[in-house]
Amino acid sequence: MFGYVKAYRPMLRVCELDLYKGVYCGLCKTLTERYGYTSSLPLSYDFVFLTIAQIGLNGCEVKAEKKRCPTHLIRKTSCISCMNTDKEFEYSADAQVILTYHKLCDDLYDHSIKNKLRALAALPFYIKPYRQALKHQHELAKSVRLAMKDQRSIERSRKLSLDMAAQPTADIMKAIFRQTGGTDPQKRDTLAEFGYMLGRYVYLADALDDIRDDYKNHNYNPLITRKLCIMSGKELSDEAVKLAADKAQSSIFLTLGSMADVYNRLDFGSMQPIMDNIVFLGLKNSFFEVRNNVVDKKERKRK
Amino acid sequence: MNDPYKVLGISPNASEDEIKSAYKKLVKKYHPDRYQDEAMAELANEKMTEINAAYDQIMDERKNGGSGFGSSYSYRSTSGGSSSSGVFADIRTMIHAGRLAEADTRLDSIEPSQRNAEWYFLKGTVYYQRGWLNQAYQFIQRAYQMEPNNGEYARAYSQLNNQRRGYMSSNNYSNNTMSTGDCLSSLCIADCCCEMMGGDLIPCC
Repeated sequence: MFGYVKAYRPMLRVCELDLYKGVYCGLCKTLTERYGYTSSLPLSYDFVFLTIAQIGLNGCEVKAEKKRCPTHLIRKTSCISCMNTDKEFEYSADAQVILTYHKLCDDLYDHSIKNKLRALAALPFYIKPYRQALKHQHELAKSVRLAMKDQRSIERSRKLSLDMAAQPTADIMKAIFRQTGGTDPQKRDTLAEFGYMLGRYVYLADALDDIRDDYKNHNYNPLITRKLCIMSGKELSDEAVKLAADKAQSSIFLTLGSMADVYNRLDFGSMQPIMDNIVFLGLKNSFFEVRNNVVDKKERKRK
Repeated sequence: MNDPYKVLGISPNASEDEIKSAYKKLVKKYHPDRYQDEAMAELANEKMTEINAAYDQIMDERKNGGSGFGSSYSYRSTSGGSSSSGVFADIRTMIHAGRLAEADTRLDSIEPSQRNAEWYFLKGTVYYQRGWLNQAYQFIQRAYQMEPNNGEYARAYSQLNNQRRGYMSSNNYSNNTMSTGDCLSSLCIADCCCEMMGGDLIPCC
């Protein structure tokens, strides 16, 4: 996941925002304890979403504690954890480590030297955590590995079907969310569908986000059609980007509409309001952020 | 990998309900929380992982066919069905039962010359259920264009168009992308649905 799944803060209530930040803190703590400090660095709010979803689905009671951490040395922050179990936070931490590792491996195939070197430099820090995570989440790691293989073969074939291009990422998220359904077969299936749609959304948003860089570096991007290439020279022209953005938008909206249908079949208990915020407002909002960034600015700010 | 059907102890022809009940039975038996002994719990945990993986694999195979991505693109054209309406009824039953892979194979086996609006509609439905939404949109659009007067295709097409414009169902926040026209047509559809179930939403029509 790449930081597109986050809440729309203006519409969060203050208590919800506290909870939201607190879960981030709790997840960061879990990551540090389980895998060391470096593993907690790339933590994004995507995995907070995953954790909150699990807390809601399993109906855990949460408690808040004031804690100090390396990034907040001066002021203590409130840190959320579950009362009786750690498995929600641990699962998110495992998933984060597995995904980060595979994302870095994938970056090694990137055509831009900068991304390649960055991945090469970071990878050694993730080998040990990955091996540990593999022990806890063997099946999940297997699904992710298979999906990454698919991704590479699709990239090599340079097919322009958005459905096909989004499939590997969607499959990864499907595997991640399916597991949160526990042992209820109906829940497992519904969450799998939900995860699939979320993955599709993430892939499409990311494809649009990277479109200018991908064009420059000759990376595969299903949004860059032949028509766009004819319209642009060395860099993508603004009209071409706008066309691609419109295409991405209708696909993303189609995905979100379908996701809402699945989402309404799920019960997130006490976490329903915050989940509603992310699903109904946050996702659209982060897509519009991406869209505005890509359409307005020539150079993308690196995250 | 082990045969997932063997892991769950069912035959490959089992219905979805049978799969689910077999899965539930095994979950009851092997749930790690039932075991006090640590070594036993560990074993049960491993077994649970295997059972979960088998269940997921079966569900995926029924949806997408055996061999991962791309398989849905391999058109197989064996001799087509003769009485197409009967074939389509069968395919509808399959889709309804969640046997998408089977339904897709049947659809692909129909000769291109016999592919009417219903074929495109069903193909689009299969794609929709699998999450290939763009493809689904194209097929359902095609079905609608071939038979604009068919209520079923028109409804599906208009629902997809609403989604493309940003509609999300039971959104507590505003769904301001929905225009009055769409509202009216949705009301009509809601009325039709109610009438189908025996009730009535708008008494005058």
